[in-house]
Amino acid sequence: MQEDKLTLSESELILRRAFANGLQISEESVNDALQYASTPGWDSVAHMALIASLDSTFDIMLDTDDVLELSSYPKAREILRKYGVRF
Amino acid sequence: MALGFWTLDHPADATAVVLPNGQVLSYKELARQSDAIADAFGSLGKRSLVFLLCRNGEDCLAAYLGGLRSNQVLGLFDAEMQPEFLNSLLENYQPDFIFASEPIAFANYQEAPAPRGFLYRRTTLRSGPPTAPELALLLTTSGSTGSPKLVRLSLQNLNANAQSIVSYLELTSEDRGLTSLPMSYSYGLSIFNSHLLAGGTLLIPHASFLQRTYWDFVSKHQPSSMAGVPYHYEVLLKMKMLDRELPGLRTLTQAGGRLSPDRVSQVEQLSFRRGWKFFVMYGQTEATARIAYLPPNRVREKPGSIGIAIPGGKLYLDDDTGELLYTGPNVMLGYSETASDLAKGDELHGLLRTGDVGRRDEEGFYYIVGRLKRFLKIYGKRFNLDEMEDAMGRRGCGTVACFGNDDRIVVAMERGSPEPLVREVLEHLKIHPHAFRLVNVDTLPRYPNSKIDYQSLARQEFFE
Repeated sequence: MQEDKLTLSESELILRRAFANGLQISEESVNDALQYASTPGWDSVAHMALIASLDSTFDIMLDTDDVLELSSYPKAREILRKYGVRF
Repeated sequence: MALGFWTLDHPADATAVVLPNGQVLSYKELARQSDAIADAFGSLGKRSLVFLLCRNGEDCLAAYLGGLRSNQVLGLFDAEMQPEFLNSLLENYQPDFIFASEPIAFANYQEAPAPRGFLYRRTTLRSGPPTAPELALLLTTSGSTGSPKLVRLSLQNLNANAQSIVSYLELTSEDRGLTSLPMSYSYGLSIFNSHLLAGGTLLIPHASFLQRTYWDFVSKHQPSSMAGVPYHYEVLLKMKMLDRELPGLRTLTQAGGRLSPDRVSQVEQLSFRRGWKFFVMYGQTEATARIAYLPPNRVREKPGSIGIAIPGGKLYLDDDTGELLYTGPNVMLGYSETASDLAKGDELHGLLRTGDVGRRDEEGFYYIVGRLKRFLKIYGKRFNLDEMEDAMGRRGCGTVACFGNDDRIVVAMERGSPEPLVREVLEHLKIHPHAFRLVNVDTLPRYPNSKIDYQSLARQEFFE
């Protein structure tokens, strides 16, 4: 149980760091409200940087449909689950 | 000259615009909406200077066309532009009106009635001389942030360029142009103008090309032409997005910078297979938008070329410097740096010095080989500043920027850059010790695309 909880927060922390990296914002400002286009700085360039950051952090290759689908922070969590990341 | 595209002189019921939500505007309805806004702009009883804070959509399109139809002077700016830049522009130019599609507050402006969007009227009178009669539109120069330098364009400039584009892209009323680039950007605006001139349809998606809703919109409304800057093509290729079903697509265009010949060839091969025409184009805001295009059937042989002049224009090279020169009816009136420049007429008389160094092949196709201004002639010797930076990079000099004038090269070294190594490279290049100056900076100024902002560096007083 304890171990499960640790895993949860760890993935979350890693995801948060990947977002901070990709969008060039502080880790503290990463939250569920982040949305493509409405979050300042989350434009197409930042989006590709974010995808690269997620790919390398989680050692996955997001496919095109997922890249297009990934329009918010909660959505990222949902998509990463498909790739076997546990939150 | 044919009637201007802003007359919207096409069958009243023809579809002019498809909005993000799928709603359709006929040419008649677009004209009605445009004129309703024009009435608000004209309420001062004189020609107004109107700044539009643009977001692609019916509000800003109607405001743009309304302004042109009623002979106002418009400035088009991205609604997302940095507030400091906007404020400095407002202070400098004191526009009579600001139009935006979303509410926003400005000092010295109060809300005024408008049939759509949000209109703000200046509370005090604009100082400065009246605007030149031929002036119709102000656009920001590509890439510049924080500089008040604007490009002055006339209605003739706008329509001439739209005509050329309609001609070489062979646009007709059947065409459906996807307008994913901002209308405040000359390339983006040229797509609006040319499709309206042809009597075609503008498809205005809401989302970015990296979002699902954008491609849903594309599938549903089936554009005949799509446009992109090099970055778009890099991503489209990488994500294999052009491999999807794109029924109705006929034309791809690329402008807004150099796409590497490799990538050009990749898009060309893809286009050939799919039966699309792929146009590589070259232009500048200073020429309204377009200057040259590479005919699709020549892309395979000449993927690094910018092609030939657009219909109505001429390209040639400066005998001394190799600078690419362009003449045509789409060449701007001139720049504007202060409000008083708005009174100026045509200063260029149809001749634009592009600042790019070009070459021409035996068939008359042009190639860009560099930027003129990134060459300095010091003591009669030409130095390529980009090559100089590369040499310093290879020697391990850290992040440096080389710029200057013909008297002196300035090397700005970012914190931590080893000065002895920089000196070594300069010595190696046999640059006279009096011909350069080393300065230390905390960080080099950069554009949002991370390229070094040499204009900003040049404005700092490094020249003693």
